[in-house]
Amino acid sequence: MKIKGQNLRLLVGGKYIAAATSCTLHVSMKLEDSSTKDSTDDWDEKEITGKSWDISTEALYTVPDTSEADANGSSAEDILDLILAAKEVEIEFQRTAGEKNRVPVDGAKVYSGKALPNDISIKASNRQNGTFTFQAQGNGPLAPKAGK
Amino acid sequence: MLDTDSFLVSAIKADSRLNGAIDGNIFPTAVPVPDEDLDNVPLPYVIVTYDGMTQDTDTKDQSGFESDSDINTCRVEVVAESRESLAELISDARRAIRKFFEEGNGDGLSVEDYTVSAGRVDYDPLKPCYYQDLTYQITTPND
Repeated sequence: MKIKGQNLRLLVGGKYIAAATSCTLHVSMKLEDSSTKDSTDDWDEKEITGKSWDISTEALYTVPDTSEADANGSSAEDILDLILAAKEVEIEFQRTAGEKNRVPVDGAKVYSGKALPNDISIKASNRQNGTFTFQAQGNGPLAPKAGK
Repeated sequence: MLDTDSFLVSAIKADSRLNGAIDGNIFPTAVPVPDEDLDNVPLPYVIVTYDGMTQDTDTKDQSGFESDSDINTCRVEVVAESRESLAELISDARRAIRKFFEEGNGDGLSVEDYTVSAGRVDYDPLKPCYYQDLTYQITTPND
């Protein structure tokens, strides 16, 4: 089953990012070359020496307490405040559907972990919607859990 | 929204100076002029057309298939006997439409935003006449 992008969402601190237009979950492993003279036929061999993950999202600029940034959705200002607070937050990546695409899909796996928000970039061009991009770096494991 | 072209027609008709200058000769898409009559339309005149619609920026909060807003493209073609008259009419049309947008006289049309651009000045040696298009992109809610 193919899943459309609007049905894959990030939650930051337990809230969806309001008016998000895209999001990325990036998981990476550090590999070290462990090839030796014993490696068959000159093929490289690798060893996992570390794992990391990060998230990023793009969204329209919204302000708190509006139809977009309600009790269930973080505005750009909420996200900016998160960065300024320099605190670890809970991140979840999940499949959604329903009203505002903010209803978790029954039984779908959720990936969650703690992350440190480390970057926000707000763009305000004349005659265009204000936008922002936001990034956070995983601080510890990203773990799958069974959906509700 | 299909009535955005009617909005522009209303704006031009509401401007007495402009409407007087074209002697009421404004032709919306819905009232086409038969080909055989085209050469007999006295200069100057204005044609308003509805050129289609695209959707505004989508966000993940839209649970339906469509965006919350539509961007409608309408064209205002001004035709005049001289370059000077064309420039004056184009300027008057822009002013009349801008006033209509600013004062919210839109016959109930809800406008979120609009942009305007102008095409090149062309010359038709057969009529003969000068003509130029103003292209309006009007953002309206997708109700």
